[in-house]
Amino acid sequence: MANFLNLSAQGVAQGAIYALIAMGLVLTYKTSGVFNLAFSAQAFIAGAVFYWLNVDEGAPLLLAFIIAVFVVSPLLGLLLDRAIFRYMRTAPWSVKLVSALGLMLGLPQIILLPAVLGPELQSNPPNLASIVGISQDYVFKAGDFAIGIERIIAVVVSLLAVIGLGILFRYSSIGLQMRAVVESPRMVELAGVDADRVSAYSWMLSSFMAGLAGVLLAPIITSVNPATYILIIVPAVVVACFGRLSSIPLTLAGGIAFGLLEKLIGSDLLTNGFGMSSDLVSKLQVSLPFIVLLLLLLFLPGLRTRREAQDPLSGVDPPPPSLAASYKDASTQRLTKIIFPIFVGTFVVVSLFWLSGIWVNRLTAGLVWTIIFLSITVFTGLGGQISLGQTAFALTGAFAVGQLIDHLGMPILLAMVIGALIAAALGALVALPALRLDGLYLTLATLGFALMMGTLIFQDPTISKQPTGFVLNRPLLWGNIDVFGWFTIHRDFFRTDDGFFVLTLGVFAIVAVGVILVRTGTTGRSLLAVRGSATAAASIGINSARLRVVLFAIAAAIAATGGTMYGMLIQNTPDPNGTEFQAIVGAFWVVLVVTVGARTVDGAANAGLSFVLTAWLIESQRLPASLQIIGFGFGAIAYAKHPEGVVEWQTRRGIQDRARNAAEKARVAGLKARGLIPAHFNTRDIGLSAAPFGLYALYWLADGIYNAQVPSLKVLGVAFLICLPFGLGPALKAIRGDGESRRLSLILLVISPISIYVIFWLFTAIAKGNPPNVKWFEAACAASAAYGVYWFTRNFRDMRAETGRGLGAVGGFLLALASVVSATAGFFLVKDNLFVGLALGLIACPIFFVLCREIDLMTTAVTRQDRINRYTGFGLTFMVLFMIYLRKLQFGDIQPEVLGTRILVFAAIGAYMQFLIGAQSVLNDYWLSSVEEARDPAEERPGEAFASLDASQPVPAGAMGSVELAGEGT
Amino acid sequence: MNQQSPLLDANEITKRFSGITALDSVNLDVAEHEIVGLIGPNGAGKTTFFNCLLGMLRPDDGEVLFNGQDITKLPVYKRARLGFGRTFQRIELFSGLTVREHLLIAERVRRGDGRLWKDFLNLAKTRPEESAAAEATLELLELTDVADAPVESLSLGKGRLVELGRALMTEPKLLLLDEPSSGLDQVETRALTDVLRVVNRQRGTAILLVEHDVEMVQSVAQRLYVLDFGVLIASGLTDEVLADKAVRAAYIGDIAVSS
Repeated sequence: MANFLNLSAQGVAQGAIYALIAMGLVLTYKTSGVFNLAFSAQAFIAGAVFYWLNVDEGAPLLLAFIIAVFVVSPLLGLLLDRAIFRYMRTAPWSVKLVSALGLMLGLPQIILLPAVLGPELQSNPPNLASIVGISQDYVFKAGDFAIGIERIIAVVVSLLAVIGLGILFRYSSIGLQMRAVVESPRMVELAGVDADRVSAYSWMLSSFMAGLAGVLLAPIITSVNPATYILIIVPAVVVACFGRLSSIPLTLAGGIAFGLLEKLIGSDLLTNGFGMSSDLVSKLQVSLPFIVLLLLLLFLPGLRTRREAQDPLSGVDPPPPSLAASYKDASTQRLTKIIFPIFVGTFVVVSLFWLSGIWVNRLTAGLVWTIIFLSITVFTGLGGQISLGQTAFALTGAFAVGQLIDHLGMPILLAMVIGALIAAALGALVALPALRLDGLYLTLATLGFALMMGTLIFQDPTISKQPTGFVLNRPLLWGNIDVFGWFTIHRDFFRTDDGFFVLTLGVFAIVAVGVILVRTGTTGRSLLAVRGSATAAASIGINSARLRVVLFAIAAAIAATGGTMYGMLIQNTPDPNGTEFQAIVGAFWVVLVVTVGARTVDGAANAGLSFVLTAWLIESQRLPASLQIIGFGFGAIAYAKHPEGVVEWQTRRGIQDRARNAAEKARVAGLKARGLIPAHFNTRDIGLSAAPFGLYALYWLADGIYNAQVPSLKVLGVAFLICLPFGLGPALKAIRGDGESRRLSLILLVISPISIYVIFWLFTAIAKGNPPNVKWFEAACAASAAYGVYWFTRNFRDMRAETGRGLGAVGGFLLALASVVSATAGFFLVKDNLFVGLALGLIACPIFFVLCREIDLMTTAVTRQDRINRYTGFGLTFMVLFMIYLRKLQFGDIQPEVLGTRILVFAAIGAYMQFLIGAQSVLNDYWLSSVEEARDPAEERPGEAFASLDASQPVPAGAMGSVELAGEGT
Repeated sequence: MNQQSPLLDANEITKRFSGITALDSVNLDVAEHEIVGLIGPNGAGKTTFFNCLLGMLRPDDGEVLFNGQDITKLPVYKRARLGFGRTFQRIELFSGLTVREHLLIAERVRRGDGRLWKDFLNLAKTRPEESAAAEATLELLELTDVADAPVESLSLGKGRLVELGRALMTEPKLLLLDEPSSGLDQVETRALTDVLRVVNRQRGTAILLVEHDVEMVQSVAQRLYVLDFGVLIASGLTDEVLADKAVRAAYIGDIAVSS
């Protein structure tokens, strides 16, 4: 009995904290429509700050508590609102959810970076008892009943907070405003309420509650580590659902009830009273939250019939863009048709015949992940739903294959197909009870499903053969195959790295083609229809229930195939508890794929490859592996701006830029002809300022090929001399200019002498037979880079004057060509090392991609021509920096841990991405301009384009103002 | 009245919402090739009745027969496959798709060969006869020039025509239109009325109109039903019903007074 009482008391304490967190969830859900799964991350941050301040830094308990809960937490909430969620109030639920998921994964890892608080946040966090003068270890006792002070505090403080919140919501005007904002921020604003302010308040308040929960929780779970904290969100979601995501009293009651249930199930009640085995009970205890969550979602009528709050004024939002492919005209389509097969062919040939083993391995891994991620492409991109449960299906496939091989001795490829079918059946089975769930609730149910599978099913050795798992050998051919006497494919071809790459590529091709066929076929179109309007779809005879089952089944089958391929890659079934396939990772998959692009196959391919390659890059730099989670987690925020995914967005943007460019060119030509725009800046200048680096790169490669030693720097000096006139020329001209131009001239005048000095210094050093310290070279490059940066960010208006058919563009094109050549050459030369950089740049790294594009958007909104030049200049500069870096790394001159080199490396890769885009733009531009010339100019409607351009680019007062007016007339 | 068994036969439909009787034993039938109107003031239960016919709501009592078959318990999509076509009062289009795609999806669903394996074998491409059917409908509704525009860019009037076209592509035996003229101006309403007449004449589609706009109903419907507070207060040939005193008192009279 005493045991029972003790457990109850513990349960109530735990439950009070659940209620507190659930309340925070409800608060943000009600006021901003965001189901904030990042809430537990916020709690973790408060807990970590509190622990760090008090234990590591020795701050007094009260001070640490105040800073963590009353300062850091509300500020964090404010930051999240201002930076992210404010812009999402009217966004669809999926956007909000994915952003929150990204934060859930990314936020705790930031705090854990060595540079922030470091990973030393482990044991025995303090509780708050000594603030009120009670001992830390005080235990209240009455007979056999005993309860620790930390739990008493948790109950009291949570109750106070919850009651306070209830009063605020019910009786204060800000509470009423908070509730109104979520219905329709626009309407609330029409009624004279500052919706932004209200939203900020509610985020601060909820974050404060998160902080409180985080600090209270720490002593109870006796550790501060992100894994435990993140999973606290699951019982909190259960409790929030119990409160139907709205009722405060119900949430409180649910929290306490659930806390009790969780503790009591672990008592001897079930084993003694019901004769259940203790093994089963412990499993039941672990998976209780997921089971309760599933049951609640399925059987709580108030919850599942609940409609997402829809903004009555949502009609004013623009519709989502269609797939980029639909913007393509005939010529662009032709271009794609030519380029795509070439790309794929080159990829395969290069991978097989030139790449070293380690690269083939990574690319294979990337393709395997792509296969897995294609299941998200189907589920989210096509079906419009979000599943966090794809890990479970992937594992189901792999284990099914393991079983089939072990018990029936089936060949693995056949087993893979059957495994996929088994997973599909499981998927369909899961879909059936979830038919009535939609949107957020379906997502939560899939999370519950995955966690349940992870803790209950996959731990069972009879199913998963844990802890060793099944051995999954790659398939053997039926014999050696002689191909027309040219060469022989050996029986164990697929067991080699190259062979397995081919196999993976084949499986990927089959799955990808399948996905495309489904998307363009009847099923895909019906799914789009249901997504557009389920009611209307039913009215023409579409059976949305059947479609949902099909959707689950297809996605599950794809995930299972991918899971098996992964198993073959590591030659063992994946570990259900490992970092790669544990249930919560399903959230990371979704965040990753959705950010990069969930609607297309190349989105999934980009996600898969960048998943593997960024991990490799981070590893090679000996950086904390969590950077990847942080990067992609925060990348999810970009999803809010571009729900179609980064890849899609870029593609569409590239296509749309053409129209803008044509109009802009015409306008600029008109202005220039009348002398209204200064014409003294020339794109060729920047092209040529980048030229020395391109030349140096070429020289370095040539030298490397023949001598394989650190090259002479003479060529660099010559190159500088060549470029100098192009730098000085504009500078001298610019002195006569005004405003912008004068500032530019100053910079040029500073930079040019530096260049001269550097060259002089280099020459003397070489003449004295004293090879220069390479740091100087870096300084020179940096100065030159700064020059490029300055040039382009400050002077885009003048840059625009260049219409882009002159020497600059040709130069840019040649340079692009030269660097492609040198890249290829470099790749032949030092396979692994140089190619690390080039290929990482080549195969998209979405984070850098986003970053660079955002910077690009911030600084300019200019013509394609400007961008081409900037990319070329930037790209070449940084690429050379990066080559030098690698070269030096190879010769052991520098250590990769130095922060400066890290920054250099990341900047270089980012810039290299830019360069590639630039090179592609150059090619496109030349291709497209020839098309444009052939076209009837009457088709263009420049007037509209001008209007939009003018509106998007405020013109500074002065001469330009009249220019705009004059320009309209042409 | 038609002596054959009617196409649609709703018998004694009753629907209650937590104590309030929204529909009280309403009877309605529509014969083949016929245009029938259902009118009534706001809150009369028109839309509730409509939803009962379509399966969006399950009536508490009564049965719905279609071609003599009891369809009271069929789900919405099955009714659609039997030959129900409908439009919505607040238009419901598939956002993100073009006008032509709307029609093609409807056509494909009608043919009922949307099997998954066909997608995988690439047999799901648009066939020439499907394109031709879509083209014919586009021409009928004069939507050809916006055929490839995404539906978000269309005006309400055009949107309603797209809904109608989508319904027509399923080759319905019976079109159920929920307040088709709401939100349209007079020119658009007239155009819509013309299309309805053409559809009725050329394809022999029966039409049941739930309408607010008495003038519009009068111009197309051969027969009328009048609902008031969930009770059918009159039915018969259009002109006779409109001349009925009770109807005028309950409904038309208001308009006469107010205008």
